[in-house]
Amino acid sequence: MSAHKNKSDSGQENVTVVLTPRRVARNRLKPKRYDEFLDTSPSKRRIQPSENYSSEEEFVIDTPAPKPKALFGGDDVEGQDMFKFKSRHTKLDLHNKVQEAVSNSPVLNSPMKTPRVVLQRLSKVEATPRQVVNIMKKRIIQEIESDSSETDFSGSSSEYAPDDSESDSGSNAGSPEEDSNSKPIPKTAFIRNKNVRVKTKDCEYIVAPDNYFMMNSSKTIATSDHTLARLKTTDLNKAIKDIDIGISKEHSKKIAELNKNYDTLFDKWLHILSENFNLILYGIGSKRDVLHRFQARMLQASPCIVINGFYPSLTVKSVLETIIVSLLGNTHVPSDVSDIVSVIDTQLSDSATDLFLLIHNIDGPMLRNGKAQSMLASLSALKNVHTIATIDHINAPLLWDHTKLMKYNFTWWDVTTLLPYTTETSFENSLMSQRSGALQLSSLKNVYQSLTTNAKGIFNTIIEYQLENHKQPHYQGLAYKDLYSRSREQFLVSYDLALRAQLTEFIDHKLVKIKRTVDGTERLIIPIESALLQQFLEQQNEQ
Amino acid sequence: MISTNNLQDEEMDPSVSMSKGVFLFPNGFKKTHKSKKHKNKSVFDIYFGSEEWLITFRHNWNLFEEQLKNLHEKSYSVLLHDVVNYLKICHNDSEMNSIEGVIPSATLLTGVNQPDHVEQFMSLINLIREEVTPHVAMINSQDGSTVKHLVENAVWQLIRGVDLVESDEDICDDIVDTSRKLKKSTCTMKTLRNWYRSRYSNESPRKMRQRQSLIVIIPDFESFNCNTLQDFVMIISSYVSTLPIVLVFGVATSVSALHKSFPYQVSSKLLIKVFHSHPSHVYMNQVLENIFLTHTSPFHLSGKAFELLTDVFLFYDFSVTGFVQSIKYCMMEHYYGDNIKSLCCDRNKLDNAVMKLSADDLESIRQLTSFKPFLEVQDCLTTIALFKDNDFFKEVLIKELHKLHDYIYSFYVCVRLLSVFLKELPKNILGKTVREVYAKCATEHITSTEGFKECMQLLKFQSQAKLVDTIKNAHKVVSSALQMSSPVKPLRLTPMKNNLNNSSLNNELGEAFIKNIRLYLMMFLRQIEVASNEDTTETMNCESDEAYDNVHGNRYKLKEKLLKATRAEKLESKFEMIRSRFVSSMEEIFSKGLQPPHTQTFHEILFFTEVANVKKQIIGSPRGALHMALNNPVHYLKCCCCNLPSPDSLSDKLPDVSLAYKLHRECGKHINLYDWLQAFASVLNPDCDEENRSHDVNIQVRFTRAVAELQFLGFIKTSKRKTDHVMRLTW
Repeated sequence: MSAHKNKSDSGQENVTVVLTPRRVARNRLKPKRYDEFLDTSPSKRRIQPSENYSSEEEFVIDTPAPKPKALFGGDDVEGQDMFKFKSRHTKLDLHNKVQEAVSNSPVLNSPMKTPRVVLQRLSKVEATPRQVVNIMKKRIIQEIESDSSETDFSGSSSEYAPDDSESDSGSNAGSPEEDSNSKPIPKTAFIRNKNVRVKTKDCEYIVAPDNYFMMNSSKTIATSDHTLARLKTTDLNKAIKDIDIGISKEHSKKIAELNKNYDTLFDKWLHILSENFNLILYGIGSKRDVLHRFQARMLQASPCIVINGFYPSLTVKSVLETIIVSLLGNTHVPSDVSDIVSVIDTQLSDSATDLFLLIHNIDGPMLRNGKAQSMLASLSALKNVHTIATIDHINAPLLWDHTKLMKYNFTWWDVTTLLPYTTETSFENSLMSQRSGALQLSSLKNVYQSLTTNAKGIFNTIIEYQLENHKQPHYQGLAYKDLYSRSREQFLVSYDLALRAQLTEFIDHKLVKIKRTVDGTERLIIPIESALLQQFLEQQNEQ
Repeated sequence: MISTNNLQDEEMDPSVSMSKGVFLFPNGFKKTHKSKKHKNKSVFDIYFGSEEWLITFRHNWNLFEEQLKNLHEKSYSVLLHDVVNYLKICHNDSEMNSIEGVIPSATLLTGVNQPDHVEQFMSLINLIREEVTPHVAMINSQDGSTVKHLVENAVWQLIRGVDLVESDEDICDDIVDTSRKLKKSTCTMKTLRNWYRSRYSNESPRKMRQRQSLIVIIPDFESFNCNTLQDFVMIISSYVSTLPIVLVFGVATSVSALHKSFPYQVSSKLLIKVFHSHPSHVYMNQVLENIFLTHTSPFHLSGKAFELLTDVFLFYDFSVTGFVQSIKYCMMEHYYGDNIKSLCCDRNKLDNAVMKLSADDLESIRQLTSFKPFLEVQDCLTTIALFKDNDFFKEVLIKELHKLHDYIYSFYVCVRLLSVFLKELPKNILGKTVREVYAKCATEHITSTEGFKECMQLLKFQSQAKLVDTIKNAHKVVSSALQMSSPVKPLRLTPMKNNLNNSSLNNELGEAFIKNIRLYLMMFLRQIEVASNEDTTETMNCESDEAYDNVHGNRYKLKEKLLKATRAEKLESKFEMIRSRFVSSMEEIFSKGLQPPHTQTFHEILFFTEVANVKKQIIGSPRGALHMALNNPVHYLKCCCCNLPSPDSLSDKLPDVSLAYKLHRECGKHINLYDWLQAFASVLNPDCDEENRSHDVNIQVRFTRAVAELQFLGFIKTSKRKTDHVMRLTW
């Protein structure tokens, strides 16, 4: 079956008959999908009706689907770089990558580069005139070197592909010395071909559905079982406030220069705003400072409203209230969307004022719904309202449909500042700081300290029991009855009701959860990880 | 250094708060209505004042907008009149009223370019107000989320609509009062019925028959909630016996959308008549041909820019409004901050504009790249004079700009001419519409391309009848172009005559050239028409011969016949001779008239060429910028420490986010935070052993921040499936 399929494919595929049929099928599907995708592109459909039926067939053969001529230029980022679809990831990919980075100093060229990469980079260098000349020179020298190394190590160049071929990496990736001096062992034709094939597969970024299902089919997560509990938990929150960490001097200088460059755009931005376009700023790095400077320099004389889209409990209503009540001095906000818009419109144009909305993160969590966006869009469409918004999330453009985009009438600006998102992420429960549990620990401490000694004793009982028993396969918590008897033993409570009263306090502070099991017993559980509890207990004992 | 600044900013920053997300900076704005009296300048005026380029830009853009409006009305008038006529009759027609509880409704198939429809529906409303009834309501999906809202809005607009129109007429006081007092929350169908009765019951029975209908327009059918609309239709159908309500649906996709969202019991209450509107590309072609691709337009797009904009239209949104906005943006970019662009104006104002230029402006005109080739052909003395003598330079400038305008005039006529010829040809070599031809002609020497030659070859095979038709069409194009320009003629010829030396008349483009073309066309038309008679008879004979031969053909005979045929064709008929002469003369005309704009002196002033500047602003690639900054930070930082041998490789010098990003790309769908941290630490700190390196607080903090930023950017999110794992959200 596989052989038959291969015949219909390119010549190169004929060599790889040995492969599993499943893969070949996947590979074969891809070009077909791509064609279909082009065939159904809207412009094609647009043309067809004008032809009569008799000539349609001929027409289809004559003209391939029209392709955009000017949309994609040389200085664009390659789609395949961004959306490269890698169907198989292994545990060792990460390790390999690190080894590669550590073992080769970055200036020296590694012999494992493929010609495709070199070509790509060559074209990129030409296409970016912004590059400083000496960087170009360096690169050219590197490329010459790499070219020569390419010919020297031609045997190994295709044999060692760092990020694919799970079978290869499985055998040799574990030992770093083998990686570092990648010896040019002549391999058999079969393996080399395989690698070439994998390479071409990886650079397809029109995703075939099979790939997606392949990726999501496995139920088990193929990563190691390490947890962060291996680390000593330290209070990261204090240290995180310190911004300078990890930014080298050179970088901070360059970042400052980069940011200063954006100031030259301010005049132009104002002109664009005056023509009823709105601005959207994208690119990595906090754009708050740029917007602040813009506001400070250009908008001193006109009313502005700054909206922090990243603020976790922001509501559109508060925005509207600020405009209608605080700024325009009305008593209340009308309930209807169109009324709101018309009120703002008439009052602003009556007083001939231009209102500026500066929205930090228009893609913020509270603004990620259709209602908020259509409200903001209709506001931005007004003649006297000018919007300057920033986006950071990679899927932010999905927020807007045709109609909204047209109302917003954005012009897009690449304002990459590379500044840390200090304010923006200050609200977010960052993954690591949450994991490290500093926050939980401190809140636990605070509540604990305000308890009576008896209550503390009760809580300790639950903790100790949980720490002793949590490794049981189906740990369900301490039974209420047991807690009562234990507490009585220690003279913490004398009657059932008192214990109940204590427990409600715990439950109110979410220190304890009550579960009712199948057999009807009440079980108490502390919803905090045991490592944290252990730490907490140790700290308490120290005191 | 910056970081300390940042800290200070943060301390003083009034727009950061843990309890508030919106901050108002009134900046002297007062709620009093005083500002109405003393006119305060807007911010924009303060910054830009009244510079020449801005005035010219505003003037030109207003012209465009006016033209667009006119064109819009013209192009939609047929459709809208159809709809309006239907609306007029639908409630007076006895046949239609026969069935109980059926609502007459019109469905407009508008196409997917929804942003364009706003204007279309606005003009429909205006037309209805003028011709049918003052009671019109238009309800967008955002105002009709529930049946209550929908009904309230509809009723409110229907009742209030009268005020807007009849405010000048004297209406009974009590009616005004009721409508003034009317609150939205009290608007129900009952209110509407009572209001309608009180308004129209007094009238004479004769008038009762022609009672005003109530029209409810739902412009974006697909964005509504189906159930809401179903309920709405059912409610109305129960009132339709007393209230003459008509529904108008704007459907973007197809009629089937209507049938899909309405079950039988609902759709049986509707009497649907479907109206088709133009597909948007037809409208765009109209806009281009009538407004932007004409010699009267003061601003022109270079081939590349034009291609970009049409690509955005065809491949992204199909929206003409968006297209016009992109052109506007290009225009802004063209004019922005450059005083010499004030020359990019109407031809009549050219002399004035040149006179207003300052010495600096003239200097920057001399710097234009297209000025160099012009200098090279001048003799020494004039060259010096051009640089030294501003007045002389101005004179030359005026002359050259007039020449440029002449060129543009004949260029556009030739483009249209060519597209007329191409329309009839088989295949789609250079495109059929004016815009496609323009895009080709504006980028390169069209006459030297393969495609053009092929087209001319094909033209040589056209039949007489077709050719005559084409030439007639071409003649029409040329004469209409001549007509359009004739009123301007006396004005602009006077200054030119002074400067013209007669020897250059041969190379002269412009009106004379076009007149020449018209002459040619007339001549050939006559010749071909005359020649056609003999020719057709000949071919007729030939064909009958062949038909006879075909009956008993063997291979030898066939061969002989073919040989004969080849010989016979060498004898050109008179028509063929004329035809080939015609084609070659056309080729000559085109090669003269269709030189690309970038060959002309001072083309930078009238043509917008800097596509690269606008492309990023019009399209925008947020994802690309993110990837670029993370994968190859040098692109933005321009530092010398982060040069990577390949875009895939790592280095410890990279910014933390970038490093974390690159590492996470190596992982599958789930990422183990601990392993990720290990990898991160071992890149930064390769010498330490595995146990210790990750315990460094410094590294932990850096990693934490990088991870938080990646989460903020949407690359990862927390996962509950396994402890200390995050999920990758990209592939």
